[in-house]
Amino acid sequence: MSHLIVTDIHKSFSGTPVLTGQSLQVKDGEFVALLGPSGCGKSTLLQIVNGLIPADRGSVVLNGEDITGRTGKGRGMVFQGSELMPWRSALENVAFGLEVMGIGRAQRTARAREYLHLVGLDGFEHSWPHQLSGGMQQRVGIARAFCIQPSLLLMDEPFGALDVQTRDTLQDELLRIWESEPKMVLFVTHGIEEALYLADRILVYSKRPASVLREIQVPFERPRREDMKMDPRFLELRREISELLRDDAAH
Amino acid sequence: MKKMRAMTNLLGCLLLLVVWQAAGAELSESLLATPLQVFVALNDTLLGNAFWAALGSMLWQMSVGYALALLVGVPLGVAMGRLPLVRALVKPWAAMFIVVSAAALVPLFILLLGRGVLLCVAIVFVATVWFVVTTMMEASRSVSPNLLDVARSYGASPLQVFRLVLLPALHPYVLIAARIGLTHALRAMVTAEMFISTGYGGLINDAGLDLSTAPLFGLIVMLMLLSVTATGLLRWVANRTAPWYASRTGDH
Amino acid sequence: MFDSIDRRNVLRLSMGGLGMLALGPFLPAFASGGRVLRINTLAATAAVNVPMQVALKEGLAAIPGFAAPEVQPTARIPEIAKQVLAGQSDIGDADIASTLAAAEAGADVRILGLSYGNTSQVIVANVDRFGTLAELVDGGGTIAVSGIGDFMHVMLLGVLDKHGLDATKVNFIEMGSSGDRMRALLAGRVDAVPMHVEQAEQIKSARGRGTFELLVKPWQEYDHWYSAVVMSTASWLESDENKAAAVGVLKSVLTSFRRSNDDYTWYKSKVAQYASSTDLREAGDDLLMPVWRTLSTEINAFPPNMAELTAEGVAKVIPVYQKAGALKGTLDLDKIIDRSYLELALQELS
Ligand SMILES: Nc1ncnc2c1ncn2[C@@H]1O[C@H](COP(=O)(O)OP(=O)(O)O)[C@@H](O)[C@H]1O
Ligand SMILES: [Mg+2]
Repeated sequence: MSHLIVTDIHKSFSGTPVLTGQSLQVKDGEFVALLGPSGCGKSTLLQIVNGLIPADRGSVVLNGEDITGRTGKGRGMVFQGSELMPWRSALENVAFGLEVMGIGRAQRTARAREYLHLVGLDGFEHSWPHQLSGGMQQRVGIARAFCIQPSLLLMDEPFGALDVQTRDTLQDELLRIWESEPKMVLFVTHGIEEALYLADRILVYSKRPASVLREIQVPFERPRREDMKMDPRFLELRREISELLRDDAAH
Repeated sequence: MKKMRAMTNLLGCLLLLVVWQAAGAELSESLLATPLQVFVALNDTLLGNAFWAALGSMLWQMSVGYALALLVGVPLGVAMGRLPLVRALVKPWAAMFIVVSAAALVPLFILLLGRGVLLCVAIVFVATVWFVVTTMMEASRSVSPNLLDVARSYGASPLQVFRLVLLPALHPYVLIAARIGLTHALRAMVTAEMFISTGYGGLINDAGLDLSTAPLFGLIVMLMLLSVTATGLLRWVANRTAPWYASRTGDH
Repeated sequence: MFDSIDRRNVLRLSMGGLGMLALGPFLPAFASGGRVLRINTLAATAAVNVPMQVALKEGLAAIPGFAAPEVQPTARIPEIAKQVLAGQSDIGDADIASTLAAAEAGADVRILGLSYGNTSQVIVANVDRFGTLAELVDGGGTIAVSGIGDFMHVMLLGVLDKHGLDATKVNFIEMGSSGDRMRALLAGRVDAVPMHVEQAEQIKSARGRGTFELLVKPWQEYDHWYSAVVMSTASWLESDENKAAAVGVLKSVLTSFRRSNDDYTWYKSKVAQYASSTDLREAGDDLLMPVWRTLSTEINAFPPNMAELTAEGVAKVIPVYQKAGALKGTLDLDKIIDRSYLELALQELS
């Protein structure tokens, strides 16, 4: 059973507190969205969980192991701008995490091919990133994260840079893949609809320094489908969160 | 598109030749030989042994200095880009040497090193290495921090970050540094040879004494062709091996 | 093969290439019996320099105990003396101006002989612009010389002074090679330049912007104008071995001078072999014969005994250098001009 426990995280940047005692937990197979105004500290929290940014205080425990301040270790990260390595083909990009782990070429290539197939990019194995559209690049980015078969997936506004249509398709793709390989997800976004559509649970954060304004258990069944966005409960929740954030911003 | 560009290039060259021919005919051979006269003179030059011997000795001595400059300059530049301490230590040297022309250094170097292979190698090295260093320094400072984060977040060790991100990210810049360095190396080499009047530089000196400018221009044209061919080759290698970079600069 | 070029292959290939270069053909040092002297000499060989070049490249090796020297051509005249003083060369075929200037600066130079007598450089002017030297000076004309303060420049200043002309009105500029000076004159960029007599002959046939004529013949202005000398340092000359070497070099030069004076056909063949410019190497008798006559007879450029090299003789031109500001005039010429090696060489030759 995997489990993420983040406890009492503090972080300031040159004296400005961004996080003051933030804690959260993710259960096995749970999809958690971190929602909040931009600049509140969501990315910072995510990077602390990822180990890229050291916290001033607090701990990150994944599956019983204290991994505070360390990277790797069963976490897969999807970045906002996909951040593919331009000198690697799509396939090599997907295999990157496995190469770092020291897995042999034949094995990692086979696995990468599988995940490229999973994100619908058959036939693009040997394409360079610059030959792919933004949406396709992010598919490769998602495949790269899934390919290391992490127990925890970290996503920082992965669809933020895409146009609306592509974003909608990729949301569905992500759900489809995740449903076939369920794992813990921390998904940072400032899109209310996106959070409601994707997540099991939403943590709504205040403006900086971030604190949880409200925790929302999303009541919709899976698999989720597009028409859910017309559900009155969906619309109601969307309105509530929107007001919550507006009130917070006004203070 | 590509054809169009080749056509305009060709047209530009032709136009240049026509203007040159007209100007040469107007001015006389002792001031500005025409392309035709240069062609005839060049033909004689190329049939002689002196030219090839001079070219050969120039090229191999230059290559040694140039290769050393790359071998030292690339790692040093990368280190300067990534490590503030190295940058602080070495940057004053780079700033100092990069403004000193080879011509100013040759007399001093002759006094220090004599006039053997060592002189040319040293001059080429000094005239080239700082351009390589500064190019690589800027390049390694511009390596995307996001990509370094990607590697680290996938658990890459510092060595893996270096091998899997830094090196490949710098590859196109190494070829750019090699290209910039090559023109400087060639220029420095000829300058040094002109001082001690050997090899290709010696041929240029001697040709300069002739009343006709045709043999001199012939040698200079060959030098330009050499430089253009070599840099073109490096560009081709860059486009072949770093298509992502070529696509960014529209070189494809 | 080209298809397989990728980033890693390029890395591998260039490493291999570097390895080959490192093991490249390092030139073997040559030494085939006999002393190998390092002799620094002017890179550009004009008609007047040919006998000296023969002496270095053929004559010396013919003397027992000597191998062909390592000839060190240098493009910039003033660098020659510097390299001898720095110990990079044993003997220099240097210009007298920089040699004496070095002596004044405290270097222990010794002048042992002449590289040629007098000077073969004449002043050629564009007479369309200025018909005479006086007109050129008054009109503020431009003269290109190889270096400010060198023997040509000073010679000209002396000539102007001798004719009561104000040298400060002339605009002197530096232009390294005599080929460049010749072209600058042809192009009308400058009004007069010093050039070798053979170039003065050639320029008559060139199409340029103006009419070009000889304005000054230095040998008519001075008893003897010293130009290039065989020089070394006192410290180098300390050892007996090096003393013998100096005598050997001078013997070779004297032999070459004498043959040049006596034998036009020989001289012509040597010009064809050693002159720097193709024009000169391929020159026919119509050009070369008058040049040879001027050099060997009129100028006495190849003095058979170098009798002209005396402290008194040089002392006569020192005031010209002083006036030009090129020398202070504090030199002990009797010490600097050391004829003893020359005397030995002459003795051995007779
Ligand atoms: N490396 C840093 N240095 C200084 N300030 C930072 C740094 N990273 C983030 N911040 C600041 O911390 C705050 C939170 O940033 P971030 O976590 O990126 O917000 P977001 O919720 O939009 O992801 C912002 O005010 C930002 O300016
Ligand atoms: Mg953010």
